[in-house]
Amino acid sequence: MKKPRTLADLQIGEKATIAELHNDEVSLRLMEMGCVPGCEVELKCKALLGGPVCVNVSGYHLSLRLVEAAKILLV
Amino acid sequence: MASPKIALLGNPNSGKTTLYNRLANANQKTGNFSGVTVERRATKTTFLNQEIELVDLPGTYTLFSTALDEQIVYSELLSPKTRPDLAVVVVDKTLLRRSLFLLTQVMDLGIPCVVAFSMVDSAAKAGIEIDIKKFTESTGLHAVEINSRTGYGIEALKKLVLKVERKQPKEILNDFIYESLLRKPTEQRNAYGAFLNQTHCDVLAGNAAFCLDLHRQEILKRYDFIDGLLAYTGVERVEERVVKTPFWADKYILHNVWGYVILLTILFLVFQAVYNFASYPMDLIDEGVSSIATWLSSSLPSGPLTSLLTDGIIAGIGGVVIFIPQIAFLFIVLSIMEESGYMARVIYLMDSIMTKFGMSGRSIVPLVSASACAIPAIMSARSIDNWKERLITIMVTPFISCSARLPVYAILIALAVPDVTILGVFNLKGLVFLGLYLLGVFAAFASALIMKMVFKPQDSSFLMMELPQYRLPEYKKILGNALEKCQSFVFEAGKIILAISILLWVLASYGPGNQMEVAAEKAAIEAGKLQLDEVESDRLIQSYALEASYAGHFGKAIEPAIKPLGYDWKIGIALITSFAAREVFVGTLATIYSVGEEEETTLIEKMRAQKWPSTGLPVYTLATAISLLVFYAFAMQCMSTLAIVKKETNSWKWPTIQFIYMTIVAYASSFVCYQIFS
Repeated sequence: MKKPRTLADLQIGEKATIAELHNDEVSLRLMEMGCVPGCEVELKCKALLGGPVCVNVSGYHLSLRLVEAAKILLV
Repeated sequence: MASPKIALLGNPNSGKTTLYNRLANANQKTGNFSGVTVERRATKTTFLNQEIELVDLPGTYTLFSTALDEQIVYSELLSPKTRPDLAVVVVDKTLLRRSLFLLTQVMDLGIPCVVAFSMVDSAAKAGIEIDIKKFTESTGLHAVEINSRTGYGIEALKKLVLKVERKQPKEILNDFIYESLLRKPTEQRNAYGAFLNQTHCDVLAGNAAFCLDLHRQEILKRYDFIDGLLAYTGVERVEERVVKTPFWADKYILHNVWGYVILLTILFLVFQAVYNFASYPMDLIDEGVSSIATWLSSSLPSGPLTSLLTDGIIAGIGGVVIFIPQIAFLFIVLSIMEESGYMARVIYLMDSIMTKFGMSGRSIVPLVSASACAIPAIMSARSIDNWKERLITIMVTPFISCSARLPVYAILIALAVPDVTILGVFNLKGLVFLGLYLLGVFAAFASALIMKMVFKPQDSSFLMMELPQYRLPEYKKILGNALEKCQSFVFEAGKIILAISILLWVLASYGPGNQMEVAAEKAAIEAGKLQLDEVESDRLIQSYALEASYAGHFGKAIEPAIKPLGYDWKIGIALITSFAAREVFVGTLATIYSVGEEEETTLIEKMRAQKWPSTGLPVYTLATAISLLVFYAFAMQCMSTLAIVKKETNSWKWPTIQFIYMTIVAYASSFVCYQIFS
């Protein structure tokens, strides 16, 4: 089975739509911060050494670690 | 009638604190209630001649709390004792969906509320309009548009706060939550409050999966409601448009190369500024304190009380006040970075490096600040929301060489390091200086790595941080912040510093039995024999008296322990007294070797002349000097830092562990250095 694409897999400048999130507290928090299924996200930048990424979501810039980004599954 | 309690609520960066400052304008009595991490601010103020209690709660995205600052909000709203009479919910008009999320939660708690739409200018630019009439019709809440910077809408908000009927708002999800809960709360009205409470219980009771699922449903249903509301009030999904035009500077500021170049440049400038500018007021304070002490000791009758006042209490207060310029400067610069939105970018840049050492990207702020002074640095660690990451940061921060180490480094380097030039350009003394700084940085990161293995912090850690729009910082907010930090330092840490200063004074001024008097007499006779002038004989008497004091006895008592490091009992006394602050080391040596503090060259000559009584070999060899340098680089020789660590961690446990750990590191390293070089 193909692994679903997550926010962590996006390239810089790439846009996608959130399909689903993991079922844990971190994901719920991301939802509370506006990362809800159906939302469009755009990856804006990636920090060095597997550091955080920054995305456009719900009208603002959010920076999150790769492990956090991997909890956001894309359409 | 008690004045009504009005709480300000909103997302971080929603302009909530600016609104608070605007509403509390007259700088009324402001009380600080320091929590473990973040502070809640409250003030009594008047709106149109009516007194009210205004509370600024930490910015939060949700009432479902995971971090400490959010727990403050949650417990304040839920506890019957602290529950506000009315909540002003600040809603960022450019981020309606996310901001309204919090509003619906507050409504479900049954807290009467009004809405203040902020960021109206940016919203207008982005073409976001909301029909407030329809908004009120749909939610039952009154709303005003405000601009805290210009004052637009502030009077209308004040009127609204006073006039609005304080009734329970419309419930959004209470029925749904009530139906879903396993254990029904006794009062249906507080179903959401019960859920927030119960969730925590249920997680503890091992029923986490159920709560997680209910929480998830709650979130989605809230967004459904918000989407309906936005459609009804004529808001199109235009939010994305606001950031569609990215700020041009972020291209460089977040760049994988330029970002770090800019960061390093700024950090270097900040360090220079804090270090250089603060030295003027610090010198003034130093002179002021010593002239007050001199004036007091000359105008008051001499005796133990005068001595306690001048050498103990005034010196102790001076030791507190001297740090204020650095704290103030540092916090002003840090607030500017924070307020402008740059700090979030720094954290983004540094996060991956810092997490490798068990810290957070946010730890970079304290570590940089520590090169000026560990005290404000440790205070700035509050912004780290993960407790373990914050603890590791606090624990390793004092390893960074602070400015108080400079006088110690300076005299020891002058004593032991030859004035030679390496490769034609580099002065060896300068290289040793640099080496000591690098040694501190290395020790901090190595220790963090060790603590990471012990504490294993990454389990619950997350970053998830908004990169806010750049804004021009407001000077009022920045100065207010710096003032608050200084106050909190003076009153909290100051008490402890003062107490230890008095203790040190007692140890240095009293000795067992009449030993000090005997020693002083002996010194006076000897001074007579040597035909010394008054100043020199006074110094000789002081040095004999110090030897006979409790501090002198302590010095002799610890001599066996410090001899392997190459130190005699006189250095031992200096080690003990410089626990108050490292720079005291130089002053104590000057007292012991009975020379004036200003005469640095004579002090160095005296130090060179010191011999071990048993062997006749010089005390200060290269090995001793290196050993001392390394000791001061690593040892926790600063009671102010311990006091602030106690305050910030709310327990004596961590400063104790930190003190023992750093002392062991210092002792072991000095021992190794001494053995290698001697």
